[in-house]
Amino acid sequence: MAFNSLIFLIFFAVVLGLHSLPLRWQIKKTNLLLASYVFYAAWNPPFVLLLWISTLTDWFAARRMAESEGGRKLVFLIMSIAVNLGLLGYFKYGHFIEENFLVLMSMLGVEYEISPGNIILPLGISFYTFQSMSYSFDVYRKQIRPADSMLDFALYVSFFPQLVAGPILRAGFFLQQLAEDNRERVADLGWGIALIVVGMFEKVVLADGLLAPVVETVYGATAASSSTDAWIGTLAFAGQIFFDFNGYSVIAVGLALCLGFKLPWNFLSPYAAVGFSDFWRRWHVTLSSWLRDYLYISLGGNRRGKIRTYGNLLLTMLLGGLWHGASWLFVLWGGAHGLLLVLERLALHLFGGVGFFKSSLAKFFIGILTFLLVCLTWVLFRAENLDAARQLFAVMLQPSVGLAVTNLSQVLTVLGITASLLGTHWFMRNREFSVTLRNLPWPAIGLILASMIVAILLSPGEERDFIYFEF
Amino acid sequence: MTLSTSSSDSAQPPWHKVWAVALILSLVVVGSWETLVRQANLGPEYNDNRSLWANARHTLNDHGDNAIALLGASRLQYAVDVQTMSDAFERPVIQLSVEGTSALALLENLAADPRFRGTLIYSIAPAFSFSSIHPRIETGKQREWVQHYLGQSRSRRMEQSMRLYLQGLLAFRSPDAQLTRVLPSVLNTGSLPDRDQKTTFANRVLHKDYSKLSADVDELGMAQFYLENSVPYIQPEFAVVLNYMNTLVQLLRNKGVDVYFVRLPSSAEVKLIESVLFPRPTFWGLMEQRLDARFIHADDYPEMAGFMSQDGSHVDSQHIVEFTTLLIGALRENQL
Repeated sequence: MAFNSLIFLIFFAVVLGLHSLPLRWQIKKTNLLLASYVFYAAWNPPFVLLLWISTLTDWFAARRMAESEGGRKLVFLIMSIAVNLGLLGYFKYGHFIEENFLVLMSMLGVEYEISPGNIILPLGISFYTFQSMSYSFDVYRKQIRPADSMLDFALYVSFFPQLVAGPILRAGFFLQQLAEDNRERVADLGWGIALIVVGMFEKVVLADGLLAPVVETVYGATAASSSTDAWIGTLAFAGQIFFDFNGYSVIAVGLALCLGFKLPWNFLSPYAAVGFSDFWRRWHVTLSSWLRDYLYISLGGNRRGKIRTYGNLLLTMLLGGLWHGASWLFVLWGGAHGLLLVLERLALHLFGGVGFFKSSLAKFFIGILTFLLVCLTWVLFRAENLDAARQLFAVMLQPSVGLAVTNLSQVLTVLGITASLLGTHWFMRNREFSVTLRNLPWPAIGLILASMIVAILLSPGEERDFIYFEF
Repeated sequence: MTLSTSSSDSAQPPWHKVWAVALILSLVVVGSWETLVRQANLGPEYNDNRSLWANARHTLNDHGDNAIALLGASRLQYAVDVQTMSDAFERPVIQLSVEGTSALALLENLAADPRFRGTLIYSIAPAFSFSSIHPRIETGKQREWVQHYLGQSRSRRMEQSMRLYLQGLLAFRSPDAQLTRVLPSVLNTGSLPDRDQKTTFANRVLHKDYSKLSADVDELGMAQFYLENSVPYIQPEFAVVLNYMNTLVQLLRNKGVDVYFVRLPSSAEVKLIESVLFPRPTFWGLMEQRLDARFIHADDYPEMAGFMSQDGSHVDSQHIVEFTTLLIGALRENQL
C-alpha cells in the first residue's frame, strides 16, 4: 500500500475519519496501531510477525536494562542488537553473504554448494529495526526512561506514516507526543494535506513522470551512452532520488500532521551543501544522525586522534552504504562518501585558515563542486552492476558532444529541473520550508496547490515504487 | 534551519480559503481538460504496460482450466480479436503477448503454474522467438512483466483494478492526453495531438492504424529490422533453446495443456528474408519434429496473407476480425 496509490487514499480517509471521532485517546492510539499493522500486512501479512518480534524484544530488553547495571545491563543491550541485526542480516543480507561465501570458497579451491533459497526482503526492515534499536541504545545510555505503555511503544515502532521508509524517529521525540491528545486539529489538517500534495507532486510528476524515464534510458544502455547522455542520466538520477525520497518523507510528515503528530524533516536543501559533512547534515538527516550517534560516536568519534577519526568516518560510511542494500556497489558508494569526508577534513586542516575559503564566492564554488562529486557517487548507487558503473564513469570522463540514447527534449527537461532544484536549494539553504510557504499570500498558496494537483492528475504514468522501499 | 514541521509554529494562512481555491481551480482545469481532449477524439484509452498485462495474467488464473492463452509478440497481439475468438470457442481468451519480445519467459511462467490447464497458442515470430540468445533484441521486458505479476500482493491487485477502471472512464488519464505528449504538440502545431496510431483495449487487443504511420514505416523498414536482428536458426544456440522449449512444452502437456505453435503470415521483403533465414523445411520442420504440439503455418492458409499491413509483418487493424475468423478456422481444423 504505497502512499501514491488509490487504495492508500481510501485507507487513510478511513483512518483519519476514525481518528477524528470523539473517542478516548487510548482508543485512538489503539486504532492507529491496528491501522499500522493492516498497512504493513497489505504487502505481506506474515511479515507483521517480524515487526512484533522487534517490538517485543526492545520493549523487554529496555525494561530489563532500566532495572539492571553493569554487565547484566549490557547483556540486554546485546540481546536487542542481536535480534534486530539478526533479522536484518538474515532477510537483507542472507543472499549477499551466501554469494560472497561461495566466491570465497571457489577462490580457495573448495567446491561448496548451498541449496537455493528464496529470501524475500520484508519492506522497511532496515528502518524499523534501526528505530527500535535506537530506543534500546537510548535507554542503555540513560538518555530516556523506558516507555510506560506497551501500546505507546508498539505505535512508536509501527506508526504507518513513517514505518517503511522513515523518517527514523527517536523514542524520546515521539513517545512524548503520545502522552496526551492536545492537537490543533484544523490547522494541522490544512497544512498536513498541503504537504501530502507537495510530496505527491515531487514523486508522481517530477521523479516518476519526468526524470525516471531518462534515468532508465541511460542506465539501461550504459555501453551505448555518450558523455552527454551519461551526465544527463546522472543529473536526472540526482533529481529523481531526491524527489522520490524527499517526496515520500514530506508525505509522511503531512500524514502524521493530519493525525496530529510531528515528524522531523529528512532533507534540508541537501544540494546546496558546502562540503560533505554539510551534505550529510542535510541528506537523509534521520539516518545520518542515527549513524553519527549510535555508530560513529560509539566507535570513538573524533576523540581518539586523527587517524582513528578518519578510520571511524570510513567505517561508518561503509556500513551506512551497506545499510542501503546488500551489494558491493552500495559499499563502494558509502566508501566513496567516507573518503570524501576524510579528504574534506584534511583540506580543512590544511586550508581552513585561508581567508578566501570563508568568502561567499568560495562557498558557492565549493557547493557546486560538492554537488558534482555527489552526482558522481550516485553512479555507484544507481548502476546495475560494477561493469555498468565503470562504463558510465569512463564515458563521463571523456567529453564528447552528441546524444546517443537520449533526445533534446529530455536533455532540456533534465537541465531545467536540475537548475530549478539547485536554485531552490540555495534559496532555501537557511530558510524553513513551512515558514517560507506559509508566508506567501493565501491565494498564491491555493494557486500553487491547484497547479500541483492538476499536474498530478494529468501525469498518468506507470505506478512506481518509492526507491527507498528497496532498502 | 530548524526541524519543525508543525503548523502551530508560525502564523497560519486561512486554510479553508486556500483549499477552496485549490479544489475549485483543480476541478475547473481538469474538467475543461477532459472536455477538450474528448472533443479532440482523445477519449479514454488503456496503456499497454505491465499493469494491464498483469491484470490479464490474473484473469487467466480465474479461468485456468478453460482459458485459451495467447503468447507471442506484436504479430499475435495485432492479429487476434479476443472477443471474436472467445465467442467462437465459447471459452475465455486471454491476450498475453508482449510487443517486441521473446515469449519464452511467458512459456516458463505458464509451464510452472499448476493452475493453468487450458489451451496455449504460441506465435513464432522468428526474429523474436529465439531472442534470448541474441543480445540486440529486448528480452528483459517480458521477464520483468512476469516478475511484476509474480510480486503483486492482493492490495496491489486491487490498486491495479481501480486504476484500470478509472483509465477506462477518464480521457485525461489516457496516454495520448498526457501533458508530456500534449504540450509539445500544442507548442509545435498549435493543436492537440492526433490519437496515436496504436489503440489499446482493456483486453489488450491492439489496433494499429497504418494510415497514420509515416511513409518510412513500410516493408523495407521492417525488412531491414528483421535482417539486422534475426538470429539464423542454424546457430548452435538454436538447438539449446529448442531443447529448453521442449522441456517447457512437456511440462505443459503433462498438466493436460493443449499447445499450438502458430506461424502468422508475412509479406513481400519481410517474407523473403524470413524464408531465407528460417526456411520452413528445416527451421519449422525441426520444431515440428521436436515439440509435442500442433502446428499451424500461414503458408498453408494463403488467404491469411491478404490482410497484411504496409509493413509486411502485421495484420492491419481494419481486418482484425476477418483475420481472426480465418485463424479460428485453422485452429478448428487442428482440433481446437
